Amino acid sequence: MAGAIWVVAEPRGDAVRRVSLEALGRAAALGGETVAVLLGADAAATAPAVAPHATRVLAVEHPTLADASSTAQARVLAELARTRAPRAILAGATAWGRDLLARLAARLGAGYVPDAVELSAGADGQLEAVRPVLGGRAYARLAFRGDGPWLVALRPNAYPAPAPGAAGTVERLAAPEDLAALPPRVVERKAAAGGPVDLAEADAIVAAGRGVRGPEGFAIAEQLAAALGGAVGASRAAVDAGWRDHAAQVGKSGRTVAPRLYVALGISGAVHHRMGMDTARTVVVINQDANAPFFKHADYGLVGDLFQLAPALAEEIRKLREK
Amino acid sequence: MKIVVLVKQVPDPEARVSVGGDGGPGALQVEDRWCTSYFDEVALEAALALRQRHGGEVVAVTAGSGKAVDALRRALAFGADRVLQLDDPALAAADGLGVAAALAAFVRREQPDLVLAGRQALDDEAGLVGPAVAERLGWPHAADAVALEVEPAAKRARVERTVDGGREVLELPLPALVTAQKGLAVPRVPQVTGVMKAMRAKIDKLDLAALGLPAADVEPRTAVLGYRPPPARKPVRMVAGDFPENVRTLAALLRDEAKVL
Amino acid sequence: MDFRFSEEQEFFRNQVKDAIDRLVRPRIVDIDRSGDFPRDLWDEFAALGYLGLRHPAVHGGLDADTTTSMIFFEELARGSSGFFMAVTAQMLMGTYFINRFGSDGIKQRVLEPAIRGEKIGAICFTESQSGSDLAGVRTTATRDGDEWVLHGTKEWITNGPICDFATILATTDPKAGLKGLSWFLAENGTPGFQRGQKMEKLGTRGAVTGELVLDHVRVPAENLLGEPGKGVRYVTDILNEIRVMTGLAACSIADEALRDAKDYARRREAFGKPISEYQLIREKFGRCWAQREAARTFLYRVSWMIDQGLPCQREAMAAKWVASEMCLDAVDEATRVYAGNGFTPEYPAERFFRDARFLLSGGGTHEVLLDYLGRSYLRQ
Repeated sequence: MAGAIWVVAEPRGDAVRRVSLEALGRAAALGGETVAVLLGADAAATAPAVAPHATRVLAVEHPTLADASSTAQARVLAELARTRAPRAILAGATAWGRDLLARLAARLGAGYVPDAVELSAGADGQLEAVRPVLGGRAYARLAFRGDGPWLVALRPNAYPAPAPGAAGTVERLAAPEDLAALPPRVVERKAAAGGPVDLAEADAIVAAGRGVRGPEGFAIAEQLAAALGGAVGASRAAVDAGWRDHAAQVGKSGRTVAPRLYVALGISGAVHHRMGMDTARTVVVINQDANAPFFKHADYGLVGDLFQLAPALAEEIRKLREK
Repeated sequence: MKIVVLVKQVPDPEARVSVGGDGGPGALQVEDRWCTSYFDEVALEAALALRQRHGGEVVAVTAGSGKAVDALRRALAFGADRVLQLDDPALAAADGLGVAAALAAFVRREQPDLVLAGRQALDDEAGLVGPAVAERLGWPHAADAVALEVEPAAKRARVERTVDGGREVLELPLPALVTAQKGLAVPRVPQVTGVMKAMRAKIDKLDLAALGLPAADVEPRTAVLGYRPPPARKPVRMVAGDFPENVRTLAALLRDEAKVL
Repeated sequence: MDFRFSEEQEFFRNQVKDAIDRLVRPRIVDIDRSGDFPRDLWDEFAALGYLGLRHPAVHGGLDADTTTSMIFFEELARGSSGFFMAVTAQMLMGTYFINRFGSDGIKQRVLEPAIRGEKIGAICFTESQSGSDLAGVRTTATRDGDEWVLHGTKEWITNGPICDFATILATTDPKAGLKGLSWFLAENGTPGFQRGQKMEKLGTRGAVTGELVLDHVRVPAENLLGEPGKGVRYVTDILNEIRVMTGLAACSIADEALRDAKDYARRREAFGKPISEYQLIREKFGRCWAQREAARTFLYRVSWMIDQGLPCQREAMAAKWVASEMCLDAVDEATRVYAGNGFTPEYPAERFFRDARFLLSGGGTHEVLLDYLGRSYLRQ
């Protein structure tokens, strides 16, 4: 089927988020032209980060576009999409990507699948997406109706980041209208208190719950996360007890994550929690209680004293990694 | 100040979920246990706090039939002034965009200063309806709010929201739509007087014709082809052995078997 | 015939469940361990207004019918059994005669603050020689001018050690036996009104129980609630509700114990598979579930009969007995599912086992109930 697949790349510093590359890799695998769309004052400067993964880079430039609201960005993208008729528009299922695609979907009246874990093309070139529903307790397979473009937010870590190939061509465009006036306006940014690695994209997450007995107990989670190069999460019980900021909460009323490795320290594994991490590839549960329900949903289980096991595991992993 | 709150009744997160025989569009089986979506309750509570501070009216609205009405009863029990149910056969098949179209049509009738919604519903977790309603209205929105201040006279709101890797503070003119993140407010446990009032209330309904919305506007843009159970994990491997041997075994398994190190 | 709850009743049940889940459930273990009355929880709960559910709107209540009240009691009993006892001792029993017979002054002074949770009430039947057999009541009420003088010792009084007021069964005519019993209101702070120490109890911990000594307590004439000598007749008017409520508490305790045991049986493995896959374990759940359904259906039928004004004394007794025996069986089976783990407070099974024992005496001992039922059956 005709039409390119666009990936709206999410800027992160001078480069883009890894999930944007993962989406480009998936788009390429589906066949046809792969277009990376960059939005920013000097969007072309970021082109080297995406060009090796795309047949073409569309750098849409406007002095305020990087900081612009999703309202403004959606408007720019909708205009472009109307003239160039891509087959699909992808973004990472991050706060940024989902905010943007939701508005864009409404603006275009286009079918949208948020938080897809699979994206494939049927025999007729129609796209199909799979996404978890009801907290991951079922997976829905969805098709799009109408001509498109079809919108998909792809969950981080659903597909591997691709190896770089030949660099695609870069096309610079000016944003088609004055966007500065479109609210909301960001007046302040605050970095998250917590580890250096963001939960949404972390390869490894070490989450702790009631079993670590207090805010100080999170030290063992931080230690292990540092050894793994990962981020620290928390159960609802730990957040509600005030041991950790809500931004770290994994589960129903917190965040949904899909790391390659998820280590749970002293978390019993209530369904509310598992809803936020069930798509993690490898799950390790460490708990004092051999009958903790979480073990049933883990790949590896270890029973014993967390304060002995977690630091020892961190040390062991550090040693293995050094070899 | 007038605030419209978008609410939804969803399967209880502890309801049993299974996928039946053919894995087709009708294969999803969900136990008949319901609750109001948590983030919608946060939004409602935030709306009531604004009413307390600035006066005015809180109107709750939901789109759907059957159990949907319980979200409105819940809103009444919390203390909403008025509730409306958007109920139309065409909405039964609608996806998030269709629901947003119906809700936006209702908001246009009501002309509130502010619309509040949950950041996402607990069942489909799409996070679509809030921003889509704002887009249809041509309003600005702020998603995932953890703090919200409104200056009704200046027609301005200030929102602190969570973003990946931190927080940001936004300013937006009213009317606007804000979606609620955990932390914006703590949903109350309603008083029994409210519960009994809500229990006995007659809930008014509006259909698409009353909203002046053509059925074509709520036609779904996506179709469910089927459902499948989540991928099964292999049975857990309990790492045996004494300390520290068990830790070494686990680390070796993570490296050699799971290949995640 | 329609055995369904209405949509409105289902909504009400869900709201009560939500309140219990959020306020009471997180406290269950602590309340049981300490055995102390959770006054802060009481205040928080009272602020929701449920203590006035059955009372008239003019006094701050909600005029709910029996079935609505029973839905509330059933959900309340899913939380802490001790808290359930404390609440029901106040809202169903401790305030009943005050609401029915109290003067306007008494209602303003006692009932309205009780509905708001500011005052805690108790009801006093039991004495050392008088439990199910009320003819053994020795506490006396003697008229002296414009006052009554109450004298005696009440035992096993739920809320006794913390009560602000108590309704007291006393004899106004010792020679008349059951026909000499009458109800009185006595208030803490009146000279001679002595609240005893909290007793240690096996179960329903958190509902504090103790003796109440009335040492020549003088109360005004208006504190006689209803007509003298009719105390026992009045009791029968409320006993049906007490029995249905107790039976529904039995259903909830059984349900919670079984649900908890079910989760355990599914994850606990023996000989290579979850124990839930063994027939002897499944039999326990099948039997207990069937008995619980039977008891619960029976109880709500009696609740409906009360709402319809139909006589149902025998049915209420029978349903209470069926439900209590069912519950005692279910909590026993639940601990068996847990095997050794049913013997330690690390798991909830033993708490259900202990709590369920109160069902044996609340609302009349089973021996007394069955004797009565048998006698009336044979007489017909």
